[in-house]
Parts: sequence; C-alpha cells; structure tokens
Amino acid sequence: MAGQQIARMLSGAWRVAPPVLDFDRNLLDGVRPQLLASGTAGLVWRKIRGDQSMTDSPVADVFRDWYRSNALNSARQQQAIAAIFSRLTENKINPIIVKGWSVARLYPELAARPVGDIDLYVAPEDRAKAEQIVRKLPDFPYHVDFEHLALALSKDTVASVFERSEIRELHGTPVRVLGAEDNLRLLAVHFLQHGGWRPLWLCDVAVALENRPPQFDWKRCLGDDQIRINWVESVLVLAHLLLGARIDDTPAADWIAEFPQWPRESILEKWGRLSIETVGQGYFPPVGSMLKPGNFIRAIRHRWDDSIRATVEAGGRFDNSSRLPMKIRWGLKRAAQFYFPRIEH
Amino acid sequence: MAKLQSKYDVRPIASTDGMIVEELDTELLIYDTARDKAHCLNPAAATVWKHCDGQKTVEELQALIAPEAGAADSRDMIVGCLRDFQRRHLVTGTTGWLDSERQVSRRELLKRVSVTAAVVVLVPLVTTIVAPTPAAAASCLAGGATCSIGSQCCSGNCSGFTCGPPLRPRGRSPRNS
Repeated sequence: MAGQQIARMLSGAWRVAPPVLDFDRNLLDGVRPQLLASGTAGLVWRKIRGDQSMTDSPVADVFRDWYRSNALNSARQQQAIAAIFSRLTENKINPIIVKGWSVARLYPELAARPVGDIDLYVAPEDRAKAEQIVRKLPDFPYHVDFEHLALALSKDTVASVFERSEIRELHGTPVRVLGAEDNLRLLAVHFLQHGGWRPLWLCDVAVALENRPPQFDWKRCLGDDQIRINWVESVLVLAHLLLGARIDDTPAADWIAEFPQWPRESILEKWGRLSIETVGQGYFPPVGSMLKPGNFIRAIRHRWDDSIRATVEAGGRFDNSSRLPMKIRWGLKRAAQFYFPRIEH
Repeated sequence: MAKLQSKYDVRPIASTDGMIVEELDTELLIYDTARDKAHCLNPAAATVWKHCDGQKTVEELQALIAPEAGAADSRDMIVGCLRDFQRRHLVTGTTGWLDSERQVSRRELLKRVSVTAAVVVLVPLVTTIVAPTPAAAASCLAGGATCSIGSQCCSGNCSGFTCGPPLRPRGRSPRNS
C-alpha cells in the first residue's frame, strides 16, 4: 500500500541522523508522485543521500532538486519574514509567526522542509491594520495568512499566548514564535483540521515533539479541555505509529495499545492518494477532473469518508465509537456551505 | 601584445543584486529573484564565483581551480566556467573578453581531463535547478485559485469554484478572545 510505503520512507527523516533506509529504488519510484506532492522531497533526500545505489538513480535527482529548492526558498522567505516583522512592529503591531519557517527551523537543516505561506497571529484588534500593511508590501512573494489559529488556540487568551511566546532573531530582526507547548498543540490540531492528508505535517509534529525543551510543560500543552487533550494525544500516537516518533516519555504513551485503528487507516489511505494535481488543494481532486462521472463519484466518496475531519468538525473524540453520526452532521453542514456559501455556518 | 594584455586584465565581478545565495552541503545555490532562475554551483564553480570580487584577474581565478590540470586545461576550465556564469547573469565584467576566447565544450573538456581522474571533480559546473516555489508547503489556496469547498481557501470562501475574499467582516476575530 502506497500510504504505508510513504510512512516507512519518512520514518525518522526529521532527525539529525535519519535511520538507515530499508527501501529499494523501484519502491521509491513507485511512491515518487505522492512524496513530491506531499512536500516531503527534502526529507526523502536526507534519507537517501547516503546510499549510492539510490543517489545514482535519476529518481533521486528530483528529490535532490527539491531539497536545493527548499534551501533557496527558506533563505528567500527568511528575508520576507524579517521584512514583514520590521514593518509590523514599526506600526506597533506585535505578530507571532506560526507553522512554516517557525517549524522548519526545528529540523536539522532548513532544506529538509519546504515553506509556503507565512502564517501570522496578531491580537484580534490589530488584525485589520496588519492585513492592510501586508497588502501594501511591494512585490511581496508570499501569501500571508491570519486565519489559522482559531481552533487550536481558542481556549487561550491572547495575552497568555503572547506571554508564553519566545523571541528568535532573523537577519537581525526579532521574530516572535509560539512557546514550545503552544506550538506542538497547534501543529497537532492543524494536522487534524486538515484531515491528516499531508505527511509533512505529521513530521512537523514529530520534530516539535522530539526537539521540545527540557522544561516542556505537558499540562500547559494539553490544557484541561478533554476533547483537546484527546486530539493532541491522538496525533502524538499517530506520529509514533506511522512515523516512529518517540513518545515513550509523553502522556500519550499509555494509549498506544488501545488506540483505534480507523484514524491510521484513514490517513494512510489519503497519503497513498496524493498527487501533484492536488497539491495545495488538500486531497481533493481538481474541479475540472470532477466533470468525469467516475472522478465525481470518487470525490464524493472521499469527502464522505473523511472520518478525521468529520470528528474535528463535530468536536468529537478519537475513540472506537462509530463515526457515522459525525459524518452525517458534517455532510449536512458541507451541503449547506455549498448551496449557501455566503452564510456563516 | 596589447590585445593579449587586455585579456588578462579582465576582473569578473559576481552579481549579487537580487541574488539569494545559500551554501548547501558542498554546493552553492543561487536564486536570481529578478529572473526567477535558480542555479547550483559545484564546489569548484562556487570557489570561482566567490572570488569574482572585481579584484582578481582571470589568471588568479584560474590558479584557484585544478592546479593539477595542465595550463591549457585549467585555462579552458575557467573560460568555460565564466562563460556559464555570464550566460546565467552570475557575473559582470567579462563581456567581450569571453567572446574572444576559444570555446571548448564541456564534454570535450571532461573527456580531456578525465585522463587524470582526480581532476574531473574539480571541473567547475553550473546547473539550473528547480526555482523555489512558495506553494510547495501551503495548506490553503490563495485568492483566485480554483477550489471546490471553502476550507480549501485561505479565506474560507470558495464561491463559484474560485477562492474569494474572506466573508467575515475585517478586524473581527474568528474565535479568540
């Protein structure tokens, strides 16, 4: 199964010394489209670069090119981030950068992970002004997103998020990043919010988990909301089961044996289905391809069959109970969104 | 003689305006933001490019690479390397001079120097690579992109199969307080 092969390929790829790869070049070639579509080419290159039987192959060149491209894009984005922080702080706006570069910096090398959007968190009262400033930046090559944090940080006050944040220096500019606890929680919830379709995001969780500081406060990370605890711990267990992340000294360790099978199956199935055409569109096929009847039915089935997103949308727990009520509820909600897109749901 | 003297007075200058330069493993990566082109320089080419400071002559640059190769070979190597740089807008100060230099194809040069295998890795090579794209890691689609549901769009608004602007009034927080 392609999803399992992708998981094997990425296992431990975020570490300084990635584990030796038990994979041959035909298998690599077989899952190349999914790996490229998943944004993990740089991680794959880190795993194969020490194996001459792999690097001699033209297949490997593609991964090396993406690894190089990641390095350049990171360097380019760092300049952009420094510029945007300078501009916002000049205007008395205090942003926090989340995901993207703030996670890429945790990998042993920036080339391991691609960076895309710049996701910023600002106090709600500053948001309109911040958006206006960003729009006025000349020739700014990155999309800046202020939308992403609602679900993961919804239980926290803005003040507490800022209080726990940390300052890192980037091209001489102070750049604020989330505290380690908030960061891990955000990455975990983000992975679920998007249905777990991208293996890169689970690698992000693994790298944040394994590089957490010694004083990491689990109580602060998990909070006291039982659903949120369940979600974060579920993602930690998934990172362990799918990618071999070390969770033996975390609160999620006791749950490994009893963890339900369906989330793992759902994620592997999505990973196996990734393709270049769907990059940036989640696991959904492009609209054009849905005009073919077969694709249309498949697309409907994939939407219906997304137990992970249905669970998150319903605010449910990841456990062994039936997903059917959540799927029905989510299906109705999406139908309403489709037919009445201008109404908030 | 005067013409020969002018050839040796050439002092190439590495173009750095609008270039993002990153060292990766043993290679040097250069992204030309103005032309949206990315290049990869092997260690020998990287050495030459870094020393194109407008001070060093071609002879001095030639001495930096493959000192084991014969004078003619290393001359051809530096000329080929600077020609690659010029073609990719990575240096200035070589126009005119390069046109007057003998052109040796890379294949011919590699064939010639491969007699001494150790020298082959020292031949400066510049290759064009995939230009960096910000879309590779994006979790949502920007405005104007094709979509089928709202959650695909960064704005949360997919109208008529196109990501539109956010529907929420600006300045209002999603769910934070």
